[in-house]
Amino acid sequence: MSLLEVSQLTVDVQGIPVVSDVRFAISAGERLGLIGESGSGKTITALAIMGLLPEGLRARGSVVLDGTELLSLSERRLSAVRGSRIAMVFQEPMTALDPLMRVGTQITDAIRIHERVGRRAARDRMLQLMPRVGFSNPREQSRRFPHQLSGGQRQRIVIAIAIACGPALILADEPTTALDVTVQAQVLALLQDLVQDQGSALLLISHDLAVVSSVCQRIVVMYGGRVVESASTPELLTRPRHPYTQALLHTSRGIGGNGDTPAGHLPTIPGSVPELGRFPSGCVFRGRCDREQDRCLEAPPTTGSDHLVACWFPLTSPSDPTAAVTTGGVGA
Amino acid sequence: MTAAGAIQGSDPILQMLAVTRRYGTRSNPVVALSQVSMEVRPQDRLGVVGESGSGKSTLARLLLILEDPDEGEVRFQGRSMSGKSRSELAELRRAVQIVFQDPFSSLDPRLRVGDSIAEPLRSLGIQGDHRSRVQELLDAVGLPAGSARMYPHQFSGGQRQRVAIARALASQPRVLVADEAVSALDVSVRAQVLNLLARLVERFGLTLVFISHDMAVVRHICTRVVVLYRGQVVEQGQVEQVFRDPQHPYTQALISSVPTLGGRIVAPPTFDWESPSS
Ligand SMILES: Nc1ncnc2c1ncn2[C@@H]1O[C@H](COP(=O)(O)OP(=O)(O)OP(=O)(O)O)[C@@H](O)[C@H]1O
Ligand SMILES: Nc1ncnc2c1ncn2[C@@H]1O[C@H](COP(=O)(O)OP(=O)(O)OP(=O)(O)O)[C@@H](O)[C@H]1O
Ligand code: SF4
Ligand SMILES: [Mg+2]
Ligand SMILES: [Mg+2]
Repeated sequence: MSLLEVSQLTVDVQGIPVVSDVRFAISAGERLGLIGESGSGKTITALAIMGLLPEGLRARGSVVLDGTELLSLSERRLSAVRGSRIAMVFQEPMTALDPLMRVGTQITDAIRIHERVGRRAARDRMLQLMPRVGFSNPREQSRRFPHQLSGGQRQRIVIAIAIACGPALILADEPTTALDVTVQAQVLALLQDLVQDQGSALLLISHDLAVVSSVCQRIVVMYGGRVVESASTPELLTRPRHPYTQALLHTSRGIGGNGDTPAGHLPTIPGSVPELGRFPSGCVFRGRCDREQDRCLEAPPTTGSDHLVACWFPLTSPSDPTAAVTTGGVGA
Repeated sequence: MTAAGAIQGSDPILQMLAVTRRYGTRSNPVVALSQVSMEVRPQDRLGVVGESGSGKSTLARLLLILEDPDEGEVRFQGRSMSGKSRSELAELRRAVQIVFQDPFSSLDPRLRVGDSIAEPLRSLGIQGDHRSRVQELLDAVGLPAGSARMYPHQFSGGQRQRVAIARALASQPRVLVADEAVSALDVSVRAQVLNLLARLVERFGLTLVFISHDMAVVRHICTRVVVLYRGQVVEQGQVEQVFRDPQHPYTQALISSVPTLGGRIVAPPTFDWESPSS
């Protein structure tokens, strides 16, 4: 039984699909990663799940949480789901925080909205929660205003608010992209530990394959508003089937290697991600793909069960020479 | 006239000697750089790394003499640049060029790309056929010849960064400073621009100062590295040496924090959590 099941999720902007037929499922307690380059539709997907799409955008398809269809829920019932069953952490912590309110009060309020406890009890819980997100002196630090904290500290307050009511699912959209790499490691480790401790599921959205593959058990790859591949993390890293995933892996390995790729020889993908409305018809990866053939003029079907791929000519087993190269690089 | 002839092969092109730079007010100063000494030698591919606010961009501005240090001095080809006049700085302006992170704000949206690229040629009073020079430069950065007549908004982020690189190369500099030049680019495009940079460095014998918060990229492209922490140089050395055997706790934290494919997230133990470093 899935906790969250997204199927045929489609969002149009003035007739142009920004998210097309997106599908994935998250089990209770699972950590799922959603990766893709800028404009691939990750944020729109997350907002559609939360029922928080900007004015003028509508989602079609289905988003089922615990057996309840969210897309047809009234705004009142939906806002009850948000915060109690699903919590969200955004890239920029200030969007989630009230600049004029002490951070401790913001956590206390979050606790009180979802639980019928008195102010005192909620405050005690807040003081227990703050050390769990890395504040060693909660009595003093809870009295600070957001601007008196660093970016990483603010994001940890947002995480405290998100976990305050024990949500079944935490949706984190580039939660560490704006942070320094050392702070990123702290926040990611924290997020990972917390969801594990309280059995929440995590949907982690990022453009960074290294981040997602370090935290998540399964990965969904988006390109041009579509899911092009999804698989367990080890499977995706060792046996990618979509040419786009494989190219991303080659590039990431080239950069992340220990100086064994000579500077100037990183594997690349020709061209760049098209702008909205400029994606080719048929397969969205056409024009940048080295396996393209006439058939790709038609949109490829999604095939597979545990390991899904949307491509007419996916890389197959390690007997495929190109796939073998990738597999060989893993241990290095 | 120039001192260049007198410079030995590996004498530094640029040098910082105990440089301190403060911003803010007298009563409430922000020390952006403190007692920084470092040098850029010919053919170096020097990485400058550190967290946000550690002083990387300040260091770049001081190397380009866009600002003067409050203490210490910056030397270009062995000569102190303190208190030099505009004309005395002309040689440095030609020899040291910069590419910034944000190709949107670094190109004038009202100028045709060809004019943007030729702008340093005009402002530095460089003679010659500017139009054919622009074509050469477009070719060098892999953009079609017709690009010269187009405007920045007609290009993707990666293409705009190519334009910015072409402009920086216009005056045939010896040193190219790249301040987070690939940080805003998508993964797939970042690789293309990194390859381009590496090829150009090779082809024109450029010295590269590569400022980045991305340790993996620095390791890939640089030969030496300077680690800044809160305005101070805490470590410098050969890239591989520093990666294999980092000496300073901050460098260790920096390196162990870099996420790897299928790796594990390890919160750096040595890092001081509660100090706000905005
Ligand atoms: N409010 C909006 N109105 C119209 N188009 C939008 C809106 N928000 C996003 N889009 C477009 O939808 C597409 C998908 O955007 P989305 O923000 O989901 O991408 P993303 O994968 O999150 O990218 P990034 O990595 O840059 O955050 C983009 O082309 C974007 O320009
Ligand atoms: N013009 C200025 N006025 C006041 N303070 C400044 C100015 N420029 C920089 N600073 C301060 O100096 C310090 C160093 O800033 P700098 O921009 O050099 O850091 P950086 O390492 O480039 O950071 P980032 O990675 O965020 O670009 C910071 O504390 C910054 O706030
Ligand atoms: S369907 Fe064709 S163009 Fe698309 S990824 Fe597969 S091979 Fe490439
Ligand atoms: Mg986004
Ligand atoms: Mg900077």
